[in-house]
Amino acid sequence: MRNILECENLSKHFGPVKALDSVTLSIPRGRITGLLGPNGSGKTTFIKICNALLTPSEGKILIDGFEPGVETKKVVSYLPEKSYLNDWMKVSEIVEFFKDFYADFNRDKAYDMLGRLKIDAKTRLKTLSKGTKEKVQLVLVMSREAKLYLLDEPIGGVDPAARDYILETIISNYSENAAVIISTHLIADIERILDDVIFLKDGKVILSKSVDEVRDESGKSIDALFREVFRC
Amino acid sequence: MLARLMKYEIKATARWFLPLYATMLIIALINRFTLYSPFMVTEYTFTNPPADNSAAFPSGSFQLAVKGTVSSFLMAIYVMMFIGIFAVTLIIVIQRFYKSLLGSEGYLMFTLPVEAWQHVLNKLIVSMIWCFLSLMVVFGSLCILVPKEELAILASDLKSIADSLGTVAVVKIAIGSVLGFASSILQIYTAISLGQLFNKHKLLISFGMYIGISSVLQFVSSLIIVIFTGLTYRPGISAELQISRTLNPMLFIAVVSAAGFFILTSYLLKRKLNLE
Repeated sequence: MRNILECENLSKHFGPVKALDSVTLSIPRGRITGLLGPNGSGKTTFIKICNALLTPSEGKILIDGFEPGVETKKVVSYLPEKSYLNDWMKVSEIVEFFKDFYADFNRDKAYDMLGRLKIDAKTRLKTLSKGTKEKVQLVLVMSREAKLYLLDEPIGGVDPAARDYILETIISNYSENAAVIISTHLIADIERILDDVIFLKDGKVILSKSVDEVRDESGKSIDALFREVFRC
Repeated sequence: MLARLMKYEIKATARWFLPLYATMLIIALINRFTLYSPFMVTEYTFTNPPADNSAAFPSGSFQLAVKGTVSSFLMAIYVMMFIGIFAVTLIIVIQRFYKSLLGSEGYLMFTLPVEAWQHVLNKLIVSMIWCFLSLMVVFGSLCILVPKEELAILASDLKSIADSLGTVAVVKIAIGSVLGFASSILQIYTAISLGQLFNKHKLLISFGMYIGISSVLQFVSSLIIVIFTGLTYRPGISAELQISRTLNPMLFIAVVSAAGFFILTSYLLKRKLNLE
């Protein structure tokens, strides 16, 4: 089966700044890829382009054979780095919202996860703490049976105890044919679940390998290699 | 998908509008009783006002003075509500577009499998429904407050104007008003969508854009109307005919500007989205 995501010479300029510079990548199905790089390396720009929230300046990108748009939005489940929940709905209402708009949304799965996280579905989103909001968003995103999950800093705002649960949720909730891309700079926490890694630096891909290859070739952990490559 | 978007948009906005409408109608109702209560001065109506304020308290009794104060206080609240309902409607129209599409909620809305133009159309239709309802509520409150005879005079005046213009012109005015109204809302959307292209002072720039677009639109429409009426003017034609002829260029301007703003806003949201 062809790759879930292919991009060729993908660039994005913001005025004179090149946020992405000729990125060429193939992301296979059935694997978890870490999109790693320091702040401002282009991770979020790349993910926004995948979600049609930004239009590339140059190059081409195909997700499941389509350019980013309505067709890809049906199969891409996206967790942005910031809270996007409105303040007037209840948790149960945002669940219905997702059910209404996404054909691949599994309501039972969402309620199951909310229950395990002890989040009351009758609570208003407004009254949730920041960490709980992030958990609700993750539940919504992982309750879709999507082909591609794009998770931008999924563990950035939650405590270390919740991190393990979140990673567990990610691993146990994606199907064999789906791909997961996780963007983060908290590598040590996430390293154990990754199959592949992509290092981004100043908008360029400087490494794209499987975790096993990296370990065999350099004899280092991803975290150690990252620290070496991005030493200030 | 549009129907689903509208369902949520109506839900999100109804929690503001419904209490507002209820308050407006209740205040009108209270005013009706204080204004026309048998204890109050009843011989004055809108068409037969007192010559001066002192006449409002003919007996000069303390009780009447108190009631007069209460009733003018309630009247002041009604007038404030009257202005307020339009202000709030406008603010919500702007805020629903700015906040739910271009604020952090935009990450949710723009990753739904929905085209950008459907978002614009959704906001437009729901805004127009609320603006229309606001107008109806204000009209309803006036019906509560103003005596029937006065309303009958107003209605017959409107009818005689309509009769003199003819059915075609009245239909044109109705369509033109709806389209012109849609165009005004879309103009706000266009200004906001242009403002969001900038990374700083988005709202301020949006406001500037609005003023800019208004000026250009005003200039171009006056030009079109002047040219059109100038070309069709014949000495001795009736005022009604002249008015009805001006309606064509006005309709034309409304259609073209509404379509232009709609296309531009949809394009900007699809291709030039700049979420924070």
